[in-house]
Amino acid sequence: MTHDLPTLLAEHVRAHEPATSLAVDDVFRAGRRRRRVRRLGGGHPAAAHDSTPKLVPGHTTRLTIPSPAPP
Amino acid sequence: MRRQRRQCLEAELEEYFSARAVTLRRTAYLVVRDWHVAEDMVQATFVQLYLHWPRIRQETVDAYARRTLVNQCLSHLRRHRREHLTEHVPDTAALQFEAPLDLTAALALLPARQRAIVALRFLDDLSVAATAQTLDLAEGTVKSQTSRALETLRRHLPDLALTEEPR
Repeated sequence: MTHDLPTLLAEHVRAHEPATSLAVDDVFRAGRRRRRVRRLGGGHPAAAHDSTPKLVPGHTTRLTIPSPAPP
Repeated sequence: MRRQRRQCLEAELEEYFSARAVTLRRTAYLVVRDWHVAEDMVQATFVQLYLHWPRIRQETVDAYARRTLVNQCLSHLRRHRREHLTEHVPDTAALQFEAPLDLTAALALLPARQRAIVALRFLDDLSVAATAQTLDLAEGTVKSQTSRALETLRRHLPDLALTEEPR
């Protein structure tokens, strides 16, 4: 039995293919957001909503442990 | 003015999306082997197209989209190399190397780049030269990787005599 690979692959993909949930509006929304982030100074879009405190150059990262209160 | 330009861009991209999103999703599926991930890859590709649309020439837009898509897929697989989502935990020994498999399992045995080559050459019907350009590889590498991929597929699909159309 001879199958040519293109036919086999096309059949394989079609047989497993679910309905798509891709929407062009999602693309536009994500694209606009990326463009806005770029305009405001770049960076990854995920970082735009990241509220994690960032290290500031010149500041130490060492924790200061308070000395125990005098008795 | 800017709004008008954006509307024009979005209209063009929407047209391209309607024409190509399904095909690109199929290509991505063959590479990443998961429909949901494939959709994410296609969406990321179209976001890149959205950002660069004014600078992409009409005659190269397909090549650009395909190249972006395959790069997205390969990067995704590289990032998630150690994750294997499965519904069933195998309770048998490791796969018999020469055991006959179905096409899904046989494709899973191929390295990601070979799957990408198979997808581009045999699903998207690209020539060796176009595949090489898409993946930024030498034509000789595409030929040798295609040959290795077919050898693996033939070995695990004994009922099938896979034929490769010379291009």
